[in-house]
Amino acid sequence: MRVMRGLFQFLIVCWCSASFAQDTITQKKPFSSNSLSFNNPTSAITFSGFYRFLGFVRNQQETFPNNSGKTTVISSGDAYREPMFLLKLNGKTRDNITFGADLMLNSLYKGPSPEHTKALTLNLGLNLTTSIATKFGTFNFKSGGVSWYRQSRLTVWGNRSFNRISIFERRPQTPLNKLPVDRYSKYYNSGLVDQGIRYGSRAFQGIFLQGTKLPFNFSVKGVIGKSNFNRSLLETSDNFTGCFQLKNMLSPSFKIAYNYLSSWADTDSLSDERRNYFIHTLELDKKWSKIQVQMELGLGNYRDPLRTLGYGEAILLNIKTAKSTKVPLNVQLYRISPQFVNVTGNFLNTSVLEVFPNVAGIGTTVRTPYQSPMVGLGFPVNNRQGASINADINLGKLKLNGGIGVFAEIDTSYAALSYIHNVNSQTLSRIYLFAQNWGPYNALNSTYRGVFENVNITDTSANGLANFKKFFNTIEFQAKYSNKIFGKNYYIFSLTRLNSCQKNLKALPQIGKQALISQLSEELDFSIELNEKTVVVLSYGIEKIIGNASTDLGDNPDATATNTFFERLGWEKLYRLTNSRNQKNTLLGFGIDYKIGQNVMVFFRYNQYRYFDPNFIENHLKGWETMLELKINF
Amino acid sequence: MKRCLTLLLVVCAVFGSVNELQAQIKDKIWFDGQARSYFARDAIDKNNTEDTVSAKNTSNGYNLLDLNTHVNPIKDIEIFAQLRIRNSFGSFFGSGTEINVRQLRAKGTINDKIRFSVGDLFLKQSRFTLYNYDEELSGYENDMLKPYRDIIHYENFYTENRWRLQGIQTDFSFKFDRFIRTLAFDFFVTRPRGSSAISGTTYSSDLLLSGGSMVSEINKNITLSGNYVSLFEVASSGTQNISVRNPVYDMALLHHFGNEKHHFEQKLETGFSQRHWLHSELVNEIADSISNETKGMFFELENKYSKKDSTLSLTLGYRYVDPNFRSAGAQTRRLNFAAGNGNTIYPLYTNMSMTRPTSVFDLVSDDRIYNQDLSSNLMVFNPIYSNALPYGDATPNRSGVYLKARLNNKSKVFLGKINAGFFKEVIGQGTAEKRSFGLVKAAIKLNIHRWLNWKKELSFSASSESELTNRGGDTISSINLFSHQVNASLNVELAKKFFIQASYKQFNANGNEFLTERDNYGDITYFTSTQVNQKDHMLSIGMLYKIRENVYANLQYNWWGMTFTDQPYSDYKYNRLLFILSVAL
Repeated sequence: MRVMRGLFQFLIVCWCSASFAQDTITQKKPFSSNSLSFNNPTSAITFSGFYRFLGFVRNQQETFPNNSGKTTVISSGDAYREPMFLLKLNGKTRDNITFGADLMLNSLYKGPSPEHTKALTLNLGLNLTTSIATKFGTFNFKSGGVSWYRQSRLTVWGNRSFNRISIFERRPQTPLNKLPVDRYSKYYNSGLVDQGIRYGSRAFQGIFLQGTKLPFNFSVKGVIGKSNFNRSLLETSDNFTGCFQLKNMLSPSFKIAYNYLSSWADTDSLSDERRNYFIHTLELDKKWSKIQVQMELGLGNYRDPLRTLGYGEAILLNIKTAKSTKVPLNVQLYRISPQFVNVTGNFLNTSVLEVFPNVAGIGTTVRTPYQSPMVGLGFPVNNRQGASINADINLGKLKLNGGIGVFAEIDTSYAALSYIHNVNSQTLSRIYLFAQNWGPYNALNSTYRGVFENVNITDTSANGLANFKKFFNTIEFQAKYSNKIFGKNYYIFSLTRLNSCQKNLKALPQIGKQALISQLSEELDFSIELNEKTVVVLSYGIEKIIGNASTDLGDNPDATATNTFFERLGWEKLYRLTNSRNQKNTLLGFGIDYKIGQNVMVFFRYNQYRYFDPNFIENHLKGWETMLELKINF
Repeated sequence: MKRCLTLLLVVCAVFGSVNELQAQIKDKIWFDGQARSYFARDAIDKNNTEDTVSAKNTSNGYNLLDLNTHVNPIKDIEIFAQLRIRNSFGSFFGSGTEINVRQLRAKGTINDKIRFSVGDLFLKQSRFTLYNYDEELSGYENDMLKPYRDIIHYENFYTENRWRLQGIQTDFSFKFDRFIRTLAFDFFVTRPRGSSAISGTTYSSDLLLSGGSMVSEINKNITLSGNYVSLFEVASSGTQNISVRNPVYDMALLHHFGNEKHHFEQKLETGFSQRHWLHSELVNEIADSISNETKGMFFELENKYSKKDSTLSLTLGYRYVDPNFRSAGAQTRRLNFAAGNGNTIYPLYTNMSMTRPTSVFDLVSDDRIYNQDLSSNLMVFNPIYSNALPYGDATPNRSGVYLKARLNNKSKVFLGKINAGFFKEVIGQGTAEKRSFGLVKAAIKLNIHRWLNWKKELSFSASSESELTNRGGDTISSINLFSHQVNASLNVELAKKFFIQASYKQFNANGNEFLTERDNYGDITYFTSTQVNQKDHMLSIGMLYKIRENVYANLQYNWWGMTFTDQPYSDYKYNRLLFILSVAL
C-alpha cells in the first residue's frame, strides 16, 4: 500500500510539474466517434455481358404414358442453367491483379409472386489472376474458378471432335456475329462454329500456375483443385485433381511435352480408403511442310478399395496433311486400355463407373455414356482401340468431308450398349433435364443438351458381362454447298452418320441383323440470306436405330419392318422384321435470324419432332417447340 | 430487402460503367474492396487413435469478392455499398454461391460544417464507454499467423477497436479565438439489435445504443472531453415489459507537453455507470418499477512519456474500476465462451463425441467463434486465456497499476515491448478474500538483416505472455492459476517478396479457478471450481509471397493440439494445410 501511495504521489507531481513545460502539441482533427474514409480509388472495373431472353413453348401431341397430363409448356429463360442477364465484372488493382466475377440474373416472368423471384447468383465463379515477370520467365498465377483449363487429350481436354453437327439449334454461349449470315458462312468455310472459351476445355476450381518464356524454351502450366467431374459424396471429403504440363519447344516445328495428372478421392470419411488414379503422358508434335504428326503416349494406373487395375497404356496418334494439299487427310489411331481411367480427358471412361460422382444433382449432370457407347469420329473411349481416316475435298462450291472408323474393345465389358441420339437430342433432353434412366423403359439419360439411350444385351457371360468383345464402325459424311439465288447467299449442309456395333470385326458399319445396334442419321440444313439483316433457316433430320435379337425386345408381340417404305414396295431384301429396337426420330425445323442492330439479334426457331418405336409401343413422343431468342451483347 | 439493394447496386454499377461516355461518372463512382481465396484442409493426426468416428479429414474453401462501391453524386455526399460475392470451393455452376449486401452507408457533410453518416457505422468513444477491446492472446501475434488474424478481424468488422453498429451519427466542431481553442460535438443513435419474433405472438424489443461526446481543446496543452453512452431497450417495440437501461458517463482531462526531443502526456479519466431493468406496468395501470440496479464508477490516471524519434515510449498508470461498473459498449467481449458457441473445426472428438475444448489454434484461426453483438451483461470468459483483464481496461472489480513500454534503436535492428500490470479485486467474489493478478507481456523482434546490412529480410521475433492469479484463504476458496504463452517466429526472405516462415506457439495453463455463473440480470448465481493443467501447441511452417500489405499469397502447414494432465479430457492433435490469397483491391 505504501508503494501504491508513493506511486500515486509521483504521478501527481509529474502532472503538476508538466503543466508548465514547453508547448509542443500538433494540430489534431476534430473528434468523431465514426471512422473517417478517404477517396482512394484503387481498382478499375469494367462490365460486359449480355441479355438473352428465350421464350419457349412446347406442345406435346404424343407423350409418354407416365405424363402428368401437362402437355404444354410456356416458359421464359433457358431450361438449362443459363443466364438471362450475364454481367461480367472485370477489375484490375493497382498491383496488376485482375479479378473477375460473372453475375447471373434470371427472371422467370411468371408473375410478381416472391416464389418466382430468382436470386442473384454467379454463372461460373470468381477468379483472381496475377502475372509476375521475372528474369527466369513470366509466371501467371490464378486462383478461384470456374476456369476453363486444357492440357493434353489424355489428361485434361474437353470433348472436341470434327464439328460435324447441325447448326440449326443455337447455344447461349454462341457469340453474335457481325451479320446473321456469318454463322453459316463461317461454318461453310472453316467448319468451326465458335462455342465460346469453354469449348474443348474442362471446368476447374483451384490454383492455376503457368510459366512461360522460361529458359531453354520451356514452359509449364498446371492446376490443383477440383473439376466438376471430381466431386465427393461428402463435400468436405478429399476429392482433388492435380495436373501439370512441362513443355519444350525444341524448334518452331517440334514440340515435346510431359504431362502428369493425379486424381484422388476418399471413399470413406472414417478410413484412409481412397480411389486414386494417375497418368503420365508424353506428347510429341512435329510438323513438316505437308505433314503434321501428333502423338501422345500415356501410362495410367487406377486403384480403389475394391480393385487394383494396375497399369494401363494409352496412345493417341494423329497424322494430318496440310490444308493446302488437294485432299487433306487426317488419320487417327488410338488405343486406350481399360486400366487407363480418367474423366477429364478427351475420351469417355467406360471401365470404372464408380469414378463418376453419382451425387444427387451432380451425377446426373456429368455422367456421360459409360456402357460401351457408340460415338462419332474423334471421340476416343477407354477399353477400346481403333483407327479412323478423315478427308476433305472441295469440288468448286461443293465441299465434302467425311471419315470412316473401325474400333474394337480391348476387353469384354458391360452387357449393354449406349448411343447418343443425333436427331432430337436437345429436344428430348429438354423434356426431362439431367435425368438418369427415364422414359417408359428407363433407357433414356439426359445430359447437357443431349440424350443417350442404354440398350441391354442378352448374350452374357457367367459374371454378367457381355459374352463377347464389341466392335464398332462409324462413317460420317458431310456435304456443304453454297451459292447465290436472286443475288442472295444460301447454304446447304448435309450430314450423314452411320454407326454400328457388332460381335465381329467389320470394315464398314453394318445394318443387318448381325449388328447389335445400327444407327443411321441424316440431317439437312438450309439457310438463305433474305437481306443483310435476315436469314431464314430450314432443317430436316431423320434418325433410324435398329437393334438385333441379342438386344432388348419390345412389348409389341408383332414384329415390325425395319423400313416401312421398302415394306410397302414389297422389297423384302431391303428390310427385315424385328421385335427389337426399331426407332425412328424425325425433326422438321424452321427458323429466322434477324439483326436488330449492332450486337442485338433476334432468333426464332420452330421445330416439329417425333420419337417413335413400333416395337416399344410406349416410346412415342410427338409435338412441336417454338423458341424466340433475343440476345443483346454489351 | 437485401436482394433489392443488391440489384440496385448492380444496376448502379452497370450504368456507372457501361456508359463509359463520361469521365464525370467515373469520378462519381469508384471502387475498392477485398478479394480472397481460402482453402483449408484439416486432418486428424495419424498418431491420434482415440477418435475413430470423426472424419479423417475435412476440407473447405471459398473465393470471395467484397466489392466496395463508392458513389459520390455530389461533392460532399458518398453512398457506400459493399457487395459480397462468395463461391464455395467445390461447388460448380452457381451452387454454393452467396451474393449479399455486407455494408450500406451514406455519409456526407452538410454545408461543409456538419458531418453525418447513416447506415453501417464503426464507432468508438473512450475505453470505458464504447470500445471494442482486442481479443486475448492477440497482442503479440507473430507475422506468420497474421493472415488468420486478418480474416478474423475482417469478417467480424473489427477495425481500430470500433464496434460495427447500424444507425445514424453526426459530428461538428467549433473553433474559437479566445477562452478555448476548439469545441467538438458528436452524437449517434444506433440499433445493435432489432425487434424480432420469439414465438408466434411474442417479440423481443429493439435494443438501442445512443451516445454523445464533447471534446474541447482548452489550450495547446489541455484537452477536456466528456462522453455519454446509453444502451437501452424500447419496451414498446416488443411484447416484453422488461427493458434494460445502462447509461455510462465519462470525463477525461488530457494534458500534454514536450520539447523537440521528448513528449509527455497525462490523462485523468473518470466516470460512472448505472444499470437497471425497467418493469413497465402500463397494462396493470400501476407505476413502473426498476430492479437489479447497479451503480459503479471508475478512475484512471495515466502518464506517458515518449521520445520524438520514436525509440522509446513509456506509460505508467493507475486504474480503479468499481465492482458494479457496467458499460455494455466497453465490456462486451470479442470472444464468447458461452456454452453452445462451439468450435468450427472438429467441434466433437473422441469416440464418445465429446465437445472439443477450445484451443489456442481455434482462437487464432476460427472467425466464427467471435462476437459482433453488444451484450448488456458481462459475457462468459475463460480465465486461462485472460483472467486479469477479461473485459479490457473496463474490467470491473479491479484496482491496480500498469506499465507499458516500447523500445527500439534508431536503425530498428531491435524492437521491444513490455506490458505489465498488477491488479487486485476491489471486493472478493464469494469470499472476503480478494484475488490479485499479475501480468507480464514482453515481445522482441530482431531485424537481423538490418544488422548485417542485407536487403532481404531475415528477422526473428519472440514473445512471452504470463498471467498469475492468486487468492488466499482456506483451501476451498484459495486460487492459484498461472498461464503462459510463448511465441517464436522466423521470417526469411529467399527471393524478392518471397518469404519462408516458421513459427511456434505454446500455451500452458496450470492451477485452479472458479468460473462464475450469472443470471439474466448479470448477478452471480454460482461458482464452479475448475482445475486446469493443459498445454496447447501450434507449430507452423509456410511460405509467403507478399506483394504489399494486405496483398499476399500464403501457404502454410500447421500442427496443433492440446494435452491435458489430470483432466477429464482426452488429448488431441490435428494438422492443417492452409492457402490464402488475399488481395486488397
